[in-house]
Amino acid sequence: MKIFTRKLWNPQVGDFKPGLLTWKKNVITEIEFRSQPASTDRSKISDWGEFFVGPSAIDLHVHARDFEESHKETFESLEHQAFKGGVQVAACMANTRPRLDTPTQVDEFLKRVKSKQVQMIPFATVSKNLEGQEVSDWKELLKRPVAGLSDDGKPILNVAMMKAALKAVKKAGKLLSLHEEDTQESLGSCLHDGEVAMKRGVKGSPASAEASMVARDLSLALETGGHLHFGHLSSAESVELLRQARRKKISFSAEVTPHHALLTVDQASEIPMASLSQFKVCPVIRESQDRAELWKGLREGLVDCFASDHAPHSIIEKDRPMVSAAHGMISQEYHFMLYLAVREKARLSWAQFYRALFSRPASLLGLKDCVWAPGGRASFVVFDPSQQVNLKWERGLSRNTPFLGMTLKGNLLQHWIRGDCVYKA
Amino acid sequence: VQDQYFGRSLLSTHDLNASDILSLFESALALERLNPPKRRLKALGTVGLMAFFEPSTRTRLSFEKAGLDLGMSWIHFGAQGSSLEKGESEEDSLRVLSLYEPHLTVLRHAESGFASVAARWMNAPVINAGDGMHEHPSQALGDAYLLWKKQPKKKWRIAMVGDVASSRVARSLANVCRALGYSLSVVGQDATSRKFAHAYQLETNKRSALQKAEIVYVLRAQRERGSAAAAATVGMNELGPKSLVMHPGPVMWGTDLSLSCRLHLAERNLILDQAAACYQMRRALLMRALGP
Repeated sequence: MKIFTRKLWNPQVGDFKPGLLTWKKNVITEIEFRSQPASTDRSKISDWGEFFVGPSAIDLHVHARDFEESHKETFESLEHQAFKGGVQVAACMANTRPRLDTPTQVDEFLKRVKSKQVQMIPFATVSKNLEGQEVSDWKELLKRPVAGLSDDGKPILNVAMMKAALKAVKKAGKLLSLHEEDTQESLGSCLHDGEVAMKRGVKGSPASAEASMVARDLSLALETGGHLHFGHLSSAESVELLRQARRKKISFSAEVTPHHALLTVDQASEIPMASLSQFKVCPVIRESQDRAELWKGLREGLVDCFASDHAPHSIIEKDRPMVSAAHGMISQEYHFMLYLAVREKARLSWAQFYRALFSRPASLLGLKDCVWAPGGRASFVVFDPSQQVNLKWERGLSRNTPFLGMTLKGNLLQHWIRGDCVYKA
Repeated sequence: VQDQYFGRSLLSTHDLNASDILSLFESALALERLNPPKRRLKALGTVGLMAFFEPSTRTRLSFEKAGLDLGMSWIHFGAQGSSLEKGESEEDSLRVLSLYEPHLTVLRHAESGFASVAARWMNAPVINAGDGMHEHPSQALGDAYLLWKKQPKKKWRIAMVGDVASSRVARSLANVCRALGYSLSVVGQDATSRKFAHAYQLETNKRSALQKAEIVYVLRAQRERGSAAAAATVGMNELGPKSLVMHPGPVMWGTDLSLSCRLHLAERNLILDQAAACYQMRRALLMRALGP
């Protein structure tokens, strides 16, 4: 198939240019930039006018649930949301029930997602049952097509375990995705430690609960080598630590989530007490200066991955007083739209946008055919960055998110995965 | 519709304006002056559900007695010796109890925001009798009722001292004072205190703050909420010569307030008057919840 649009993503110039995109079956065969399609073959080309066309997202941080938590989300419902959210590849966290801590369970996961059009790549756990006590069977687990190791949901508090995990993933060429939280400091917390938490009468989690663990792991990486992948960063202090780490040439990558990049704790100030739990997430959403620093980190390339931390919970776990409600919020269905909003707010160039949305996550996962060039997967979205969209809940099994009802600028119109149109607005 | 037929929930003092509060004062005063046999006809035949998921003596008993004064009967639900011990969820328990058609529920729970969430599970109005560190409306309204009775037109100057961070009374009192135009300041100079800056005036100099205040409101360190706040014992010599002293109780004499305060405050000690005023106020709150 061959299409022409006046706005085709051109990674060489870092902007959208008029051009032709050709794909055969599931692979891009040609990307050609020219102001008009050649007149001879015009009948074979579909003209997509002014719509923007570029690669769809690779999301490094998704909680797929399913198994014993299929009341929250199933692989099917997740895929259905990813279609609409413009996500072509989802790296899925290991804190499913049962945990992805044995080769059998990882194989079961892989079997279940094999036929999915959205590629779902599991992480395996660092420790058995995420308890941080005994390590899981890394040797066997890392032989499988996993994204790497992660105890996401829990930090790796044991230093020896952390060092060993760094070495193991380095050897296997995989990722170690880190949930940075000093759980002693953040114990019982619901919101950022500050005026809003004080006002709402809940415990706060200070930025140091995250930053102290980031600092520890950077120094461990300096000592042992290896690559750190920081999940869902939330604080200005953490970004500053990354800035120093870059000077020391420590190898790292870092995620920002839509909620940390778009919301601030002040927005929790006036939410009715009964719905406040929608705002509960770990790490907590912090102040506007933290958000500004995350934006700056994105511009500097210190924070270099967009990741949803999509965390479905049913009303049973979420429709509760904040203290005992579950952490996390969903955003998979709005992934691409939310990051268009982040791009706008953080004043990112399109090149910075696509690097964090697509190319950096692709290279971290070692997906060689996720490139915007001939030979790459024909997976892309068609969108209009000026069209307004109201975020409505349509597709998931859970609806725990403060994003519902929000109006954003930039709408996703179509999503194609490996040559198939999987979503049309 | 719910308001019209079933009266109103009281989940937070945030929802009340000055005229709401003043009408509660008038109502409490009227009930106080009514002779007991007539008072007992006010809510005769109604049944309240007392659901306490956290220990309490004075709040529970004063609500209960206030209801009996009005002719109410009570059914009781406590965490101990109930189906919760068998593993039933709080939501299921309360939804079931709601089917027994109580006319109102008085609810206490250790979690902030519990009353607001639970009100959605119940058919009849809910009175928040304390939810975690969030609010304790009946205490704050009772305290303000006492001050209003002393001098109805006066805009009192109150200084709060002690473990404000963990105190649900403080949060409710802040709303009530704001509505009534009373000045409320927090005495403290640590990092925690600075987080109050938006809600209260902050006084960093304890001595001058206590001297200036007409009311010194002392709060207990809430160990049961994991508070590590050091007790800032208020001594007799720190108080201004005319300062009145309040405390929501229970008072830890020698820790919250010095023993000499216990001995020598005399009529400047309003702590027992507070307990009485809260009891009177609770009658008005029950009537408000029961509705016309």
